[in-house]
Amino acid sequence: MTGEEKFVVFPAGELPCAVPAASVAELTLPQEVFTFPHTSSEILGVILRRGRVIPLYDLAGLLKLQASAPAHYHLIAHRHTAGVTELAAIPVSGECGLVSADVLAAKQAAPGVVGELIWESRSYQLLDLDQLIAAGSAE
Amino acid sequence: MTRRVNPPPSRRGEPVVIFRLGSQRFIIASAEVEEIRDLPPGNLPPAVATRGNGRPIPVIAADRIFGVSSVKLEQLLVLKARRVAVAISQIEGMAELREIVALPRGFHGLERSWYRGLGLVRQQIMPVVNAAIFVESAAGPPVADAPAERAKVNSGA
Repeated sequence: MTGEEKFVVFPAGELPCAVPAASVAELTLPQEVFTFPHTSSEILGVILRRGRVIPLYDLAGLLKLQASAPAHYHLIAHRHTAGVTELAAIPVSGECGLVSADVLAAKQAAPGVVGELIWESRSYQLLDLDQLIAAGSAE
Repeated sequence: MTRRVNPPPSRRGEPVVIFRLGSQRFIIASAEVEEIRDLPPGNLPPAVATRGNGRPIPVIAADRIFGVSSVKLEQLLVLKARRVAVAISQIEGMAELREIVALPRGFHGLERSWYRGLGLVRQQIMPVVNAAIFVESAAGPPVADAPAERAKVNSGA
């Protein structure tokens, strides 16, 4: 990825993260999470937004973070899987921003982390949610 | 107590029964349910129940299918055409389901066979159980080897 693009930056616990703004459908206050038994361990439950049922993914688990922080927002993004696009939500544990920045290569290879973003002297992990969720599903 | 399930015909939606396993709520089509019985208190559900015609049918503990642990099983759903009975915690009520939403594709595990989809009842999302899984479970390996025992189940409870 080269050139200057727009990104949504947000914290995942202690880890500053970013996703391309073009992939983001909506940022909302935390919605009620409905849970039921299932075996897809990367999914926390589902939320209901504008009449649509959207899976809420365990971002801390996907990123293998030590602990998850309470959600301040739910970030809803477009996810491409098996030839179709569906919405996916992740909990965001702090303030978000819309920024323009250049993307650098990721310092450390990790599933779903596709680059590094520097904004106001701070480093953000650029996530590809498709890759991140696919890697979590495969485990 | 025994209750026959004869929902009134409706033009608005599919009549469904809402039942609980511990704190989890599920939906099953009322067309699948012949009868609801109370189980004797304090006992494990029997291995076999008797239908109205006197024929014995196997009893499936729903908590073992869905991997929901430490729940009291207090009632029995006798299924109409499935030749099994299902031990559950409690019936919560009946409702009409206007729409069953497909399970999002992000769900890729056993739940794809457990559920027909998701239903919205009283602003709550609940899974709509595929009754065929109870028959498959009755015909399958012993409960200890059942799918939910092998898979890590995320009940969110």
